[in-house]
Amino acid sequence: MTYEITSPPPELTVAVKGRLDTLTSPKLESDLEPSIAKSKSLVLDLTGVDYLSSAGLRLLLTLQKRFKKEGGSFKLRGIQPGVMEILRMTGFLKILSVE
Amino acid sequence: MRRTFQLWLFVSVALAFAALFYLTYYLQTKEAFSAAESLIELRTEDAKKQISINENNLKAVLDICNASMANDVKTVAYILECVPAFATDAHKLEELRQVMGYDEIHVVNKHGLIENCAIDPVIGNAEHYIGFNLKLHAQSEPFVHGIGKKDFVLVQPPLPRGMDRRLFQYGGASRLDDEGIVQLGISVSFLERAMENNSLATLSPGLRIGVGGEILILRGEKIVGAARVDLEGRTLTSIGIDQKLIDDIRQGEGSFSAEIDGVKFFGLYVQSGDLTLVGVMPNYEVTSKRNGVAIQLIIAGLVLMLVVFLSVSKLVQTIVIDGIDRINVSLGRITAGHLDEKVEEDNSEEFRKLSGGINTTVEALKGAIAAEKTRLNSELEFARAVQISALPQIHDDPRFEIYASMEAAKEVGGDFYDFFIVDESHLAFLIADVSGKGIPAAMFMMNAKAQLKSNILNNPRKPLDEVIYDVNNSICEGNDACMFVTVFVGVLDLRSGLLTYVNAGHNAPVVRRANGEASWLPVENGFVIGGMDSVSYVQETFQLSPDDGILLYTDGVTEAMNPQLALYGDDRLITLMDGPIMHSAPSDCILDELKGDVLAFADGAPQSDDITMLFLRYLG
Repeated sequence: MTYEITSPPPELTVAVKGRLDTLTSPKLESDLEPSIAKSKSLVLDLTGVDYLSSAGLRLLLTLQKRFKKEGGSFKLRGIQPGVMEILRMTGFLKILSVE
Repeated sequence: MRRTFQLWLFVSVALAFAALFYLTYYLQTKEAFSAAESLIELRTEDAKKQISINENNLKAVLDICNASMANDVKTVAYILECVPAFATDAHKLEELRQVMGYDEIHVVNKHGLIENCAIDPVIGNAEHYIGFNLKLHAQSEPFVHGIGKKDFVLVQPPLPRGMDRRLFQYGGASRLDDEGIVQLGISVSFLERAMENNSLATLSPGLRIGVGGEILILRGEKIVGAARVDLEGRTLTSIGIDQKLIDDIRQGEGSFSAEIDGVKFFGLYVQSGDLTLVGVMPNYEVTSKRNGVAIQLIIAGLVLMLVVFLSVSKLVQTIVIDGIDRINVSLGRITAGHLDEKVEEDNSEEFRKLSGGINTTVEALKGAIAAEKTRLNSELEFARAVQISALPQIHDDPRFEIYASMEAAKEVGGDFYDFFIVDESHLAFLIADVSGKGIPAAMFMMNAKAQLKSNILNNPRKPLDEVIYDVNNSICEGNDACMFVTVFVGVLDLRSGLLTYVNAGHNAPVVRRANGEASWLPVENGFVIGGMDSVSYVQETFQLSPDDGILLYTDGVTEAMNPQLALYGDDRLITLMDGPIMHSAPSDCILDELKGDVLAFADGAPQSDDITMLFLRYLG
């Protein structure tokens, strides 16, 4: 997994590439923490993500809860079919905003 | 460390060199002045002796002259007594003068007046001297005192006379023939030569000391002898020596430093009769040898310093720093987790001890880690056992058959299944997959499992979606870790075959008809349980006929991976279930067949997730 901050805080946009699984999701979360702390909104560009495990789902859930609590906005962008299927099946599409 | 060491080494070596240089320079300077002092002393002593020899020579010549003249004048007095004509006859006296080889002969009467006289015509006319009164001239006056004294003889020292100031000597004695004096006079040119030969000026070449040094011979304050002719006749003041030093130099012995004509000199002074001898050497000459030694010492010292610096530096690099570097590399590997790395630095006792110490520590650490791993494993095994023991046992019921299996991945997983009789006509069954792994997932799973079971059992009349709504809210409480669980839960009416179900984010089950055909169970994809509270779920129904079955599974099946990282996938699952193998498979073999197919697909790739499945067959 690699990522790139394409737009800096406070309107943070991060493009993620690779798999979001048990190993990479916690790393992405801790890496982004300083930027997220300074942001009012976050857009995760998942164009390059081809696999999302339950750990990835958990990361999305954590971010969703966090921005909701602080009145910010959290959106997903560029969701690939495989990932879309997972989000659909698990009902995550019901609670997440997709651009 | 190497930099610091090199810096200190450089400073130490440089200081040692500087100290050595200073000491040598100091000793060489001392030695140079001491040598110069000895040399000047020796040369001064030689000059003193030479002066003394000259003086003695001159004195001997003078003594001979004086004695000779005294004899001659007494001889003339005797001749006059024998032949009185000489006293009055000028011609006779002239003959005598020529025979005796003198320039002048005077015969003086008792009144001190010259009566007769013979003079070398080159000098003057004898007639002019007749009647000259000796009393009237300072030079001749002393002879007057001899008149009337029988044994009177006087030889005067040679004195300069006339326009050319040539030395002329007079001698006189009492007359024997009459009262009066006879006088002899001679121009002592040979004496002049003797004096010249023995003068201080002739010493000049011998007064040199070294190249630029010399002995100055002083009479009073005046330089009367020196190697450099231009110094002769000058005074000490005029060559730049101050009065205080001049006062010192003119009495006693000693050494001094002074500038002469602007050049620094080192000197010694000593007295010799009425003369003062001052030996001087320019400082640059005194120290020239020292300077040569100093330059050689600096070059040798720099080379030596460089050699010492490089050798010690190289030695320390080889013996210490390289060793430390190698140990650091090993330590880096150990820190990175390679606990089998051995530190084998053994080029010195200290390194052997250090290496041994590190190896022992790492071994101890390995032991501790292994022990901890064993403990953790046994705990995980225990947790696993608790989990498995919590799974329900197969029911023996004529109305249905139920098969379940759970193939756990390495860690304690988050999958579980459950089934239980709700009341006499209803069977509840469910499968779930908790996000995450390990002890937290296992604990979350136990809680979810208990909540689901108790809520379903306690609310048999309540719509299933509402029961799940309650379970979700209950689980969401205090779920700070944001864990969640996907659940498919169904309640089968064992009398009618009507299946009521709620899907909370789980994989859609597969329905297997009595004839073997299989298809997806249509499901509304509800949100996972535990993710967010107050989420609504949808309750759905499906009519099962006798011998119809339903397969529940977790994503361990559909997301099993092969070595090429491809996923097993929904398509392969439904194709298998609807395929000829499953058509003919008895219901108790369905799970084995499915598992076999997943393993075949994985083709030896490690199982990364729990593979959990449950097959329920409604018998009617």
